[in-house]
Amino acid sequence: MGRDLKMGVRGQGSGVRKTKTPNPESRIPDLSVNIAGIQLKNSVMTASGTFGYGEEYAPYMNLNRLGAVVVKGLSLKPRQGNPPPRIVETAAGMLNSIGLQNVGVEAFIEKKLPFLRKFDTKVIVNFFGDSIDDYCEVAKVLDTTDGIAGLEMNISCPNKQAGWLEFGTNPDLTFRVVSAVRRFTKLPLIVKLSPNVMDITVIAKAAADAGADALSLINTLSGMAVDAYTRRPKLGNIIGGLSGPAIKPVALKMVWQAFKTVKLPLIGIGGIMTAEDAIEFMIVGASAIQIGTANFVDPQVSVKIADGIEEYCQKNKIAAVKELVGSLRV
Amino acid sequence: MAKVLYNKRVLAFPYTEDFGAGGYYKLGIRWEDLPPIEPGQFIMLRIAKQIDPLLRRPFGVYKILGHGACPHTKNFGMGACLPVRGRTQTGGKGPGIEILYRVVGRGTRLMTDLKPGDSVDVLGPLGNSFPLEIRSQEVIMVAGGIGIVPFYMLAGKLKKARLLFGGRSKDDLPALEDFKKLKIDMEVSTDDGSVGEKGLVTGLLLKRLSKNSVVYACGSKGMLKEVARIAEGADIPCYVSLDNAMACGIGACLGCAVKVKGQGARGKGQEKQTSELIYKMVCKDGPVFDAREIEWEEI
Repeated sequence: MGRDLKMGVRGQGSGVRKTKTPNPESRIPDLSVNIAGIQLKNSVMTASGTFGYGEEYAPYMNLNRLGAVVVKGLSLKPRQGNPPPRIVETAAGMLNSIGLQNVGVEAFIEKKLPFLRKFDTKVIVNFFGDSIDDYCEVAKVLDTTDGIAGLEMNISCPNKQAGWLEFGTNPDLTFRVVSAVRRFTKLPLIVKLSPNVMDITVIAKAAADAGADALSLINTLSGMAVDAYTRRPKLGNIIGGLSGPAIKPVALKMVWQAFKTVKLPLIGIGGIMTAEDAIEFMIVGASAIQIGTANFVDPQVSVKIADGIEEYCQKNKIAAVKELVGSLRV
Repeated sequence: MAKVLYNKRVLAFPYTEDFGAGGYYKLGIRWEDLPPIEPGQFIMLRIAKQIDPLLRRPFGVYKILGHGACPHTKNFGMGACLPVRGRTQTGGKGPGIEILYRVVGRGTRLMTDLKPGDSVDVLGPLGNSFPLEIRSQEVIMVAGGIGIVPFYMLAGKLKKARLLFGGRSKDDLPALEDFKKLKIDMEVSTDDGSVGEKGLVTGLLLKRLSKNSVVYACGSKGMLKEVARIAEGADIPCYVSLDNAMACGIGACLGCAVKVKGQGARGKGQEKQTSELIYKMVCKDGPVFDAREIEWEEI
């Protein structure tokens, strides 16, 4: 509640300022956004898997400045992850095959969440499973845990009951897993979409029909890297997920397509390095954005982007960041 | 933003297909508010605001610059701010650090273009450092090529140490002169015999090893594996500094995983868990590891 109160104060503040300073340029723009009932102080979140459990970054930046922290994806049981090498740099990007290493949902609640709760930022918990039952079990546990603002479902995960086909690459599987999880949680449910599909709008619709409250996109693009001299794959897992500035055009296109197809709020992800990148995602339809790979390059980048968005709004006389959403001129 | 003080080639390593267009360089970086840095720690360096190459690169800290003028001397105790003799390495340009690097790919090749005054972005110091509680023992430092990096600061911290330094040839022994100036016993080996003893540095280790030895090693994975095997056979403590590709350097990306043995393998445990394999992160749990902890078959 304390957090909501603060949001109120901010709104009030800008109201007061109206009477004091009539010059609209110096007015503080309203940066807050609401994603499926999650009230965020700004549109900047950190993407799952690039920000640990928040504590890794706390010595380097101010977590209170973030709209939300999306934690490293959790499974029912801890996961060891894939054999190394797990990362390799590619042109303007990187490939990873971490393999969803994580401490498991129980250890997260016991050891990681109490730290995050100390900050004035929303905690969104990313989770996954390798069967529908696993997804539901994790959702059930998280649903009854205090201090979680919302859930983000990673559906780019192989399903052991369907020949390891990824849930998120098939509309039927997407519908089934999302609707199953929906029954186990009242928390806002964000479904994170895979870009490795023939038509993102089909999957977006399936997730929406199954009861998702919001969609985040895109996850990493499937890819690989090879050493020409040794003829070996550069990743221990042979294939991995591509992220970074290299994927931004793909991500923008998919957010735009989803925006035209479903009515749900969208969270744009994919190669965001600067405030300009973030704003481009909002223009094509994202209500909020997530910063991923850029966190590795500069631990303070998320705060810089939040500042940059504010600056952009001020300079361009945008009273509320919401006005940008879906404002693409075509 | 830290500034480049100097960037000079110290050795020209001839081109080989697996090694690249080699060459060893020393990069001096002026760093205001220099934090305390322990031997074995590293930094993540970004050379400009470009997006390609995208990621920072990890580099061990070779030297602390600015002794005397350096207000942090008390934090290190003796030795870390070498060379002493009342003069600073940078002519009073410190505080800062010196990075010793080898050109291995695009990122390091671009680094060779850095000029004095250029801005660089330094994140660190990161990671753990060599354990020093076993000072009374006979310390043997084993370095292979660029693996020499952590030992300049470490040698400064140790009262008595022996350095065994190996490389492919005389062009693969960077900063040899620096170590000649230190009062430590040093022996050199090269694969081609161009300087020192012909053969591998592990050959020198076998000759020098005693029951009271403690080994610190940094070099190629093949070298470290062999050093660890020798140390285990002789039942002496051995600490290795590992290198790995990493994106963040602060334990978030989980990219720099190294497989370690279960807890039982560290000596005291007798049953259970000995075969349980888990990953540790070179950036956060290392870069220095107890050699007995590492699952060498997976390296």
